[in-house]
Amino acid sequence: MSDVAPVLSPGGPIVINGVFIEPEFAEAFDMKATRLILTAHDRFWVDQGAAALVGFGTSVIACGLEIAVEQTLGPDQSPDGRPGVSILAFAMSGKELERQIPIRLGQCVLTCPTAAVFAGLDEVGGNRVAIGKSIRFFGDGHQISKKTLSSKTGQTKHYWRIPVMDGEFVCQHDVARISGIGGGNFLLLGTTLEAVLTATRAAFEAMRELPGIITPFPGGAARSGSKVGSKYAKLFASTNDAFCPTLRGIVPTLLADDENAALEIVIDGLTAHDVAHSMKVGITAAAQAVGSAGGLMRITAGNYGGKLGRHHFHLHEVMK
Amino acid sequence: MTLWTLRARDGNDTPQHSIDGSVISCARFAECDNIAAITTTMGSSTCRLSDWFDIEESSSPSHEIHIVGDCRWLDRLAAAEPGTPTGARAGRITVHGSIGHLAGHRMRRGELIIDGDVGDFLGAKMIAGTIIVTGRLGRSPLSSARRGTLIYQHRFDWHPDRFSRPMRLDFPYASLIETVGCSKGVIDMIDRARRNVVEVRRGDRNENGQAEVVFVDR
Repeated sequence: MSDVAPVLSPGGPIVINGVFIEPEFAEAFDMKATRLILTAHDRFWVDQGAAALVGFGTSVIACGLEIAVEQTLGPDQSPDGRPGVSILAFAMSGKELERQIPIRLGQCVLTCPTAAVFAGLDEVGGNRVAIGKSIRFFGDGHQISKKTLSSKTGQTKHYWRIPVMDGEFVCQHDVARISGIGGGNFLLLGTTLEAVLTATRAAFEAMRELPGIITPFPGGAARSGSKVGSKYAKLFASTNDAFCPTLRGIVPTLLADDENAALEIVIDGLTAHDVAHSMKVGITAAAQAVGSAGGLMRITAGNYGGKLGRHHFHLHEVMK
Repeated sequence: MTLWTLRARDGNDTPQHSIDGSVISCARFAECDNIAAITTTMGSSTCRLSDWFDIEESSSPSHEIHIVGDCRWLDRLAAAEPGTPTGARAGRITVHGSIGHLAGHRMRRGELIIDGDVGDFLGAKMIAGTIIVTGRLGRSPLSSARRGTLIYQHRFDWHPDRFSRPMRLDFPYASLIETVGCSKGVIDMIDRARRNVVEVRRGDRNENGQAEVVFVDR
C-alpha cells in the first residue's frame, strides 16, 4: 500500500497513487433536508418503491428535490422489522421540501405493494414535513390514526393506517425538517473515459453506504457539470465548457493536454463533517483504484469563486 | 423521564412508600395484598388519584405506568372519571396481572396492555386507542365502542351481528407496537401478530362505529 498512501507535506501537493489532488475547493450551499425510512415485505418491493420515490431526483435545478437512497436497512434496523432503506431528500427551501415529499410519497410509495414509510429523524417539534398528514385523506374517512409511546425517547409517535387494496398502508404522521448542505463535489480527470469511469465507480461504491450523505446523480456522477449563466438569457446554468474535452481549442480550457475525460461526483449531506468525510473517502477510493498508471491524472473540485455558496470544502483540508 | 417506584403493601408489612407521590391511592393499595410495585414515569407532584383514570392529566405529554401484580379490585383503569367525557388520552399503562371492570371506558388515545384477565365491559364506549389482553375477556368487551383496537388471544364468542365476519389479514400495525418492559407473554403475542396472518373483525354495529378486534391465534 505504500505506493498509494497520500503524500502529504504542509502547503505542498497531495498525491495519492500518482494522482494529483489540486488545492481547490468545492463550493456548497445551505439546503433543507429530511430523512425517510421506506420498508416493504421483502427486498424486491423495497427496491421498487425506493426506485420510484427517488426517480427524477438528481438536481434541484429542475427536479424540485435531490433525493437518493442513503443506506440499506436490515429488518433489525427498521421501525417495523422488515427490510428497508433510508432515503435523504434535499431542497433549496423548506417550502419546496414540504411540497415535494407528499407528492412523491403519494404517487410512488402509497402505490407500491406492501410499502410503509416512517420518519428517519427523531427531532421533535420545529418545522415538519407531512407524510401521513397529507396522504391520510386517500383513506376517504376510513383511515385510522394511532399514537404509540416510545419507551426509548418518551415521545409519542403518530401513525396512520390507510386502507388499500393489499391491506393497509402504514405511515408516520410527519417527519422533521433540518438544515443540510448540498453541492459538495469533486472532479475526476483522466487520460481515458475508461479510467475515469472506473475511478468514479470505485468512489461511488466507497461512498454509497456512508451515513448522512447521498450522491443523487446516476452512479453518483454527473457528466454535465455546469457553469453559472448561458448565452441564452432563459438559462441560468449551462455546460461547463472549460472541462469539455471536445471544446479544447475553441474556449479556454482547464484540462491538461493528456486529460480527455472528466466526471463530477456531487454530494449532499446533513452536516459539513458528513460531506467532508465522504469526499475524503471517495477521493481516496478513486485514486487507489486507478492511479496515474491507470489513467486517472488529477482530482479537483468545482466552485463559483466562493461567492455563491457558504460552505467551502478545500480538498487539501478534507484529505487531512 | 423520571422513573420512580411505589411499593405497596406486601403481605402483612406496612406499605413502603418511597416518595411523596405515594398519596396516590394509599387506601386502594391497602385493599390489595398482591401489588408488588407500581412504576410510573410521572413526576411525584402531578401524580394523583385521577391519574388512574386519565394519564394525560399530568404535566408531561406522555407517560408510561406499570402496575405489577393482580389487581382485580381496580376498576375503570384508563377510563373516564365519572362525569367526564373521555378516558386516557395518551401514554401507555401496562398491567402485569389481571384487572377489574370497565378498563378503557371512553378511552380516547394511548395503549392499555393487560398481561392477565380483564373484567366486564372492557373498552366500553371506547373512542380510540389500543387495548392488548393476553388473558381472558369478561362480558361485553368493546360494548358500544366507536373506534379503537382490541388485540387478544383467547377465543371469545362475539355476538354474530356485532362485527363483520372474521377476515384473515396481515396486520402491519402490530409491528409498531412497542413491547419494551412488557412480559414474555405480551411480547410473544405481539410477535405472533407481527409474523402471522391474524383474524380481524371490523365495524361495531352497536355504535355504527369502526372498532376492530384482532385475534392472534395461539
